[in-house]
Amino acid sequence: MGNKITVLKKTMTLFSVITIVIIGIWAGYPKFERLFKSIFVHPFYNYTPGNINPIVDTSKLKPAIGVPVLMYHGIMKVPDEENTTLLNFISHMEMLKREGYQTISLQDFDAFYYGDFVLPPKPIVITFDDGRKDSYYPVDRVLEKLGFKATIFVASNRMNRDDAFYLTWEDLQEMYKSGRWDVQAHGRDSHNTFLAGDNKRKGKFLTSRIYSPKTGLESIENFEKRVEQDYLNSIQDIKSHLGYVPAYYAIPLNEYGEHYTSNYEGSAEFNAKMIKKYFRLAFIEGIVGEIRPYHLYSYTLKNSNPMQVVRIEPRNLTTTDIQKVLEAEYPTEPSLSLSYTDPSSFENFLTIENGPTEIKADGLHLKIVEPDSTTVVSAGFIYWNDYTVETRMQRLKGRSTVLLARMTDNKNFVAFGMTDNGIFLRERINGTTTDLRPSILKDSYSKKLNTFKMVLKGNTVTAYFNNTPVYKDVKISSNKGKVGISTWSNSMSDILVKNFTVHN
Amino acid sequence: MKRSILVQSNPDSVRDLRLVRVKKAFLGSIFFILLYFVILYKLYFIFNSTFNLFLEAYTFFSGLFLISRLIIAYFYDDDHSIFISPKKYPSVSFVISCKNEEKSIEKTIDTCLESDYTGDVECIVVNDGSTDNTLAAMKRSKKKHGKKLTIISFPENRGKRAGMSEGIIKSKGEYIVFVDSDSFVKPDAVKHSIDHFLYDPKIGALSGNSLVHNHDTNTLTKMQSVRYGISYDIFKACESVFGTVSCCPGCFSVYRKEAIMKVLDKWRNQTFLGTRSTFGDDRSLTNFVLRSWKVIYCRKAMASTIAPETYKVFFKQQLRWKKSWLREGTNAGSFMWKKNIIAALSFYINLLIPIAGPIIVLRVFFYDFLIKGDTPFFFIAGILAMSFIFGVYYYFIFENKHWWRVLQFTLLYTFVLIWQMPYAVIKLKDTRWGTR
Repeated sequence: MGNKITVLKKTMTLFSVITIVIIGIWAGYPKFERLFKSIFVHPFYNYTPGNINPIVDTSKLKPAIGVPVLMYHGIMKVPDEENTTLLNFISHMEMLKREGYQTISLQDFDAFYYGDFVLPPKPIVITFDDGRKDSYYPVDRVLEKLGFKATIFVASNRMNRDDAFYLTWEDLQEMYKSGRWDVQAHGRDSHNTFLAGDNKRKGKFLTSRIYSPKTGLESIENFEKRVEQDYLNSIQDIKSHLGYVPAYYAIPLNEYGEHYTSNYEGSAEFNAKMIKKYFRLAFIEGIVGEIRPYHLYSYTLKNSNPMQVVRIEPRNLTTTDIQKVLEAEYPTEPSLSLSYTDPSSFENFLTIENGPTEIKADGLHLKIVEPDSTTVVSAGFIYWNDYTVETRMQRLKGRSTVLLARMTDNKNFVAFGMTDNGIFLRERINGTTTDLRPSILKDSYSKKLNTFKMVLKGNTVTAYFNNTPVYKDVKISSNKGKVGISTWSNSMSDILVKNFTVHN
Repeated sequence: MKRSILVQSNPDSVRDLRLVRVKKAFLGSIFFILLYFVILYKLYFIFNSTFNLFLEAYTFFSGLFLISRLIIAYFYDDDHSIFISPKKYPSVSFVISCKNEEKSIEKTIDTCLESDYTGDVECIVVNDGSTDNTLAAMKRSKKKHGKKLTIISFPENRGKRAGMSEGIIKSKGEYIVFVDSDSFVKPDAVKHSIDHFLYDPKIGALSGNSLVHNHDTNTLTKMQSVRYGISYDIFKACESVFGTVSCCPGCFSVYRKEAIMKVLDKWRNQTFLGTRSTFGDDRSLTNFVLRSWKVIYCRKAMASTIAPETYKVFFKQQLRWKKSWLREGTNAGSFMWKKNIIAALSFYINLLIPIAGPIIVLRVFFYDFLIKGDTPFFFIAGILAMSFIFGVYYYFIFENKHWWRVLQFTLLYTFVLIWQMPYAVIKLKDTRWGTR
């Protein structure tokens, strides 16, 4: 078409126009992208707060002694099993606002745990895992309008490879600059899985040694090198893009070998060592939706394990359900007063762990109808550490009356009681019971109304029988736990509990 | 060059000239600004959308296709400067096949035979079983033009292909000019066309530039005048750069008789999916010729044609065009890859875009908007910006004062016409014309 001179001329013109356009795009794109995000993505959800009028006056409440931590993944429009819908998320946040919760940063949490930081009466930490776009875009306006802060734990290989589903480092810088967001570590490649055995078994990055059909299992030395390198990479990524060293870590895949079998038993210990070496606090997913492991307590107190901070993952729980967990477990100083003068107090504050019980006008009856069984009731919280627990009880029928303290589950507690063989003080650790001191025979008291008292302080216990100290400053290994009463017998029993009190 | 129809104003004074220049400068800058933002947005979308390969691929390929049209059309050059003694021009035969066109046939014949052409000109009209006074009108013309006009009359309707073939067989010219009975050829159109054939012996067919005759009648015809303009001056011009124009419309096109004669029987008896192909005669003939010849477009060879004035007729026409587009698209797809690589790529992308289009529109307006609640603001802004760009580009080629109605047409296309494509797929075997 056409003669060569016109074609040449046109090519030159086109070439210059294209050059100008490309330069224009190259120069303008980053600015355009930012502008576009600010007008289009930022108010991706243009949030107007609903009813957030406070219904709790927090000014009269005492500072809290523990902190709950919430954990989300993505906030989405379409519901699914692992994430939270935008509407649910908003209702969660508005509930927190109404109930007077105040978000604290992980730095405050750290200062509380390791220092003297005074917590607000209703503190809460909000976290997001992985670093997805939908953890930020729909969420930011909500946080902004409610005056909340959040922390995002980023699996940094997603940012490094520019995965469009995840936030970019520029997004994260912007978030960090806003003051609403803190960016912390969640590993670099540690969400990966790989072949861990010849039967196609999959292993997790942090817990398994890599298996290769040719060379077999990775050596322990290489395993440790690889795993430690991931902790370092994760820190390095945040340091180089955001300019600070992360001190907090969300454990990838919620698992570093402590629960499930991997092909390397030493992984749990090694990871625990590494996490302790590089981080001040480490977070797990504890309470996921409606699944709530027995041993987990949703608040973190000064005596909780800082390397396994429990988080509540609300997913699509209703606000009432979340509120129930938060309120039922709100940590208080040890205090309990149950008495036969107010029988309903037994009903309200005791948990029946096992066996039949009955509340009558004269008090609480613990019964045994099946020989060789145990009846147990408990009260209080597993975070209670130093306290005095006291009970007045009588053996009407059966063989034993036992006061329990420092109970974390049915395999761990301190027991002070009386059987046909006299008074005893025992500790049960992981299901194995040992006598802390030899039994004392006081058979004449065995069918009377007796007072049992234990004073627990740090790693010691002093036990009183009818207000006389019988065991003094005995060393124990547990440092926290609930209180309880139990009886065991190989025949029918009936134990009457008149009073049950706990105080500091 | 006569552009009397459609030209907005004949700038008489210097002031008018300056106004036009200011207007063009203004539109030109908006053109580049919009183009810049459209490219930026497309890039933004491709980099930032989450895991939707289909949508990303559609954005990428449709963007690439449309923007490449602007570049390729820029290289279109209607160059056929050749000097030949006026007496040496070859003979040309007009072939007009029609049914029930008593109103316009005489004028059509007149414009053909009154062409400014120094070679021999004859006209063959085929009366395809008209039930009105078409034949009488033809006979009146015969009196006026004498032996230059040959009349063939079928006692009953045999279809356009039969009429055209009969005309071709009876013709004596070296070149055949097909003209629709409602189209009017400009006096210099034939000369411009033949110049191209003489200039490049590889050319087998040529599409003329058909304008909308009744462009001021109503909104519909105004829109169509722009739609015609863009599809000729941008899309056909692009195809012409590589000599692969895929449709020489029946309203006005010129063929080398040598190129037709080889394929005449195949074309006349064409079947598709077991049924005899009736409509889409023009596209089909072009395809047969395109296999072994170059096919180009000549912007200066102008004709004007009467476009549908009511939506009912317009929709039926559009459906028919879509069906023949589907049929001939698949046919042409079987050899297009042998042609120029850019032409072939453009052809295949262009084949996929209208098929994916309804899916995209469904997603954006039903799934994203009604179910997820995302406002399709950027989608609508994007298609409007793109059509504005094409409108301005076209306005720079040809001063059609209705150029901006491309925006209207785009909306009509996106919301209504696009749904004809799935329907056309279903109705592909139905070979009735539906109109005319």
